[in-house]
Amino acid sequence: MRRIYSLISIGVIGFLFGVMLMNLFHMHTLDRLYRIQNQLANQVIDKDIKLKGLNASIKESNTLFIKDIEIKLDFEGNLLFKDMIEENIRFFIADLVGKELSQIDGQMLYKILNSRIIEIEDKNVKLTIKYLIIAETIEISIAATVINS
Amino acid sequence: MLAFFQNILYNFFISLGVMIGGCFFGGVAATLNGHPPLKTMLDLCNRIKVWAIIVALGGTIPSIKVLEIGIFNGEVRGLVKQVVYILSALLGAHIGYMLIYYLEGSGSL
Repeated sequence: MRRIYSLISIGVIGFLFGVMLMNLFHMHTLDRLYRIQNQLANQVIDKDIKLKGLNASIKESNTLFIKDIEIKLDFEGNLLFKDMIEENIRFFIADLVGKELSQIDGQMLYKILNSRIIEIEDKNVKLTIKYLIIAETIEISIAATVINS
Repeated sequence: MLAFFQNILYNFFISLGVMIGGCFFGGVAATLNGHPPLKTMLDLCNRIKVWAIIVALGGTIPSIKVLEIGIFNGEVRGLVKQVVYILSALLGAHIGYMLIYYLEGSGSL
């Protein structure tokens, strides 16, 4: 019985020291990530304040502008890969934010993205537009499928 | 005389252990709680430094009692011994503090 207790205590102490060592190895990374998180949160707050001011001045001018783009991506696969596809799509249409709504050519937007094949990490991804709503917030629903190269 | 040196070593390493152990395991707790571990360790270091000395001396009451006897009854030997014990514990705690401080990478060894 004594031997069992001794083995348990060795195991527990070993576990605790293991956790402690792992923490020691990763503490710099964790601290850096927390710092980045704080910086990003501050940036978001800052940009939010600026955006509110901008929206207020736009309202005064009575013109409709594109304020945001909402991409609804339909992709079955790795979530990180999905984010990369979304980032890629955003790259093509991000310039639309801030433009006047009347100047947006919906047909061109459709042609830019529909049936487009983008290459991400040596994989070809085909985009198919399901629907496209052009308003102050452009809403695009896209289905993405990985095709064989 | 041997017991005196042994006690100095005990005090030194106990306070060093309290500092390092407390901070390291406090860092583990910080990670589990979703707080930055390194920053928490440094905060803990500042907070537990005095307590590390007190723990090493085995509580403050006996030390204060010896100091009192030393001062008011002229027991200079006991008084000096106690001061040396406190200093060794202080040194251990300070070395523990410096080790954690330099671990952060803000200072240079």
